[in-house]
Amino acid sequence: MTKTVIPIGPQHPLLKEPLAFQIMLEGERVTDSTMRMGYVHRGIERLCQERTFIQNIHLVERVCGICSHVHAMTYCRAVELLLGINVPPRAAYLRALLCELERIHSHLLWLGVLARNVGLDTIFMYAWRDREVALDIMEALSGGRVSHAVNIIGGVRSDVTPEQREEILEQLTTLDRQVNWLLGVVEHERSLQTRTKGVGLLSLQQVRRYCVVGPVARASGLDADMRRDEPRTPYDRLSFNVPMHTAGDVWARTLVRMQETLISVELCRDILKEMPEGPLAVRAPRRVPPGEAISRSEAPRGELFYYVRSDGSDTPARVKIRTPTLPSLLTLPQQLKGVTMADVSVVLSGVDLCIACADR
Amino acid sequence: MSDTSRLNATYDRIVCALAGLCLSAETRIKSAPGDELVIRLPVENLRAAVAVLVNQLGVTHLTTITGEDLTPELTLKYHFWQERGFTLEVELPGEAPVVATIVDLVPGAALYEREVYGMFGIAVEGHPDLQPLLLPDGWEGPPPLRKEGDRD
Repeated sequence: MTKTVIPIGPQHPLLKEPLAFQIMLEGERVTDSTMRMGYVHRGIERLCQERTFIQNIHLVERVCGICSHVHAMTYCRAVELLLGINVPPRAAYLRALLCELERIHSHLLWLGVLARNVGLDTIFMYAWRDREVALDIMEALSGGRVSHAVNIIGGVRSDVTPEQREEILEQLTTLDRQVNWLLGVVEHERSLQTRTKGVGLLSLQQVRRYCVVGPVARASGLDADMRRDEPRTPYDRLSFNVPMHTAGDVWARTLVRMQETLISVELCRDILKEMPEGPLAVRAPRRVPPGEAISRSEAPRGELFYYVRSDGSDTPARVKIRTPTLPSLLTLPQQLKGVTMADVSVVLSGVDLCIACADR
Repeated sequence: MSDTSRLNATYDRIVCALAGLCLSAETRIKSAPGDELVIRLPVENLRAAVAVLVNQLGVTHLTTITGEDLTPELTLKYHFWQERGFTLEVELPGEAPVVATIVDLVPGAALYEREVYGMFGIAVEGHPDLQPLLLPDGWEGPPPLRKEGDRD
């Protein structure tokens, strides 16, 4: 059979961000593939060493254009650990509220991208319309749709007024209805199932071997969620399920993400209802004492990891960022092996890659 | 309380299993809910220690590898997770640093080892595809996260 090599990227309509693949084909089937990354490497870890602890909040918020808040929050938490301060409960609730809104926004965005790539433009339009609701809420809370600049070391800088709270609860009802409707459509849409079932398979064993995290891991039956495994306020006070599936294909990932979106809507409601009154931030000392800290949180794509070391000066000695896309990238050659050329787009969108995150 | 003691038991198990291989074990890195365990090892014991973790304790999750230039030496921190986070730390000389790969034991380490190679110039012996992860083709400067490359 004819052997062909098809390059995809670094600039390609299929990929929203630059990433390069060489797809080796035998007839229609993929026999092998290689991946090259680094096209949006901005040297953020290095830049962090040259900026003060406070300037870095704004820098790390720009690692990712989708989950910007969780980056800033995880970084601030690491610095707070170094300082030995605890944020007030209300600040922890507000941070979690934005985390969950970001998850809703990220998962709906992803559903749109997947639907677009399999030719279901209607689902794409509806998913992105509903995503606007989450963006509107975040804009009302912080003033920004994507970059929120809500985190400061020691807490947050913006509050929810009682009027806003009522309005957000109303918007969440809309969101709940729409996401439920989308989940129903997704579950019954036969062409989506035909395109995604059995595609991009990862077994539980493979997920473990490659240290995969987040919805991709949970769709293969790995029970891991940092919100539950390393609980912090308010997650230790809220009850929520961690949706799991075992099929390990793009279909299972779709279900996991859609169910997570519904749970996040529910969590947003609980957070708003149970949010205690009180101050938004504690005063943070200006000097960060020498030491090391690790902070982990559950970003929309899985475990986000920050390591921060201070040598006592006003800039960190080292900031290490591990984003959840990296291990998923490692599994792509496994997932692509044996699929047809037409399914390459399904596999690539199924893992929900964030290249800017991975390249930093 | 029982939760804390279960987590402490995890650390005790790890420290016990690695007792013959390590230089020191201390809960040093600040984290929540409690400080994280750091086990310092001679670099030649790294593979043996990871093999114990994987084969005896069933550890599977490596979060990442953090490299750091503490001129004159370099350090590598392997951040693992089993019920809670813990770190293996090795020290390497600044001149011609070499470390053995753990890709055969933890396949998920492949990209992190490539990153450490590109950013710190640490040769990873036995890695199946050792090339810089993020640097452009034909990068000629010093490894970007090494202190010797400082402009000032």
